[in-house]
Amino acid sequence: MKSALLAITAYLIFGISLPVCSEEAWLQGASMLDRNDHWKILPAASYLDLGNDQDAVTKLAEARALLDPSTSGKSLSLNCAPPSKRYLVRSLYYSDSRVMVYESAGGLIIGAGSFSDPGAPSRGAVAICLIGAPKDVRATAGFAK
Amino acid sequence: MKITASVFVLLFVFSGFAQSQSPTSEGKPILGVADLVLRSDEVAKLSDEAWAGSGEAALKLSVYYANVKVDFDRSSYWTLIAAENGNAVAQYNAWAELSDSRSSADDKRRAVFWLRKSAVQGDSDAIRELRELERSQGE
Repeated sequence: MKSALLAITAYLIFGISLPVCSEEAWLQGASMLDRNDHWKILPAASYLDLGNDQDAVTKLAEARALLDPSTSGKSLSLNCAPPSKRYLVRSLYYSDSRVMVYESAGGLIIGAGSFSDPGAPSRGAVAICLIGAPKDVRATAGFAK
Repeated sequence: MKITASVFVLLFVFSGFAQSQSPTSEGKPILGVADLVLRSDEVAKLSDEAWAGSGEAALKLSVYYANVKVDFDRSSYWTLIAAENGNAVAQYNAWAELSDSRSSADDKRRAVFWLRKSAVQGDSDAIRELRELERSQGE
């Protein structure tokens, strides 16, 4: 009986428990993302992955997206043709990752697929050419297969 | 025995609480895209529909694999199936993927093929990008 209980306990602790990903409050809560939206891939020329650029990450401390106020730095190398403007958008960062951006009427999803060893992502930023501020921003991160 | 049972109950309650609080992987939403998650039976159903010719179903699978599973290769696979099935959004997405600066010259030519297909169906983004492409080639 005791061993059965121990076995069940061990299963509950080690068998069911799943690895915990790094999480931030802004990624939680009600989402405006709709699976029936028409999600379009943003062409790579429309954005620039800034990685964990501290200047951009600091600027995004209080916002998911903002009109890029930079007068110097990495983001300036992204040129946006009017009427689009350059925005800084929050993302998740892995050192060796590929970023992909989807856009719909509901907002943006910034996906980071990492090719490095599994671990928790940290804060990152992406500069993106957009006509207007996105309604919502969501980020995903995982290990690219 | 009572102590063992009590420990077991406590661990059980803690385990359930921890799981309800943990954003986890393994088929669950990764981060912030809970609404895009598909159950395994939904994936199977959409796959069947996609193989039977539904562009909409294949597009949903491509969005799911890119944003929930973070499996870009499988996402690209379903994007092309959706494009072949005639979905204008997927055809635009196929252009966006294949026109990447890292793509080969052949992929870039194929990208324009999909952009034209999407534009013919009236996709406004595709029409705008095609005009821009033709303007830049005319310069």
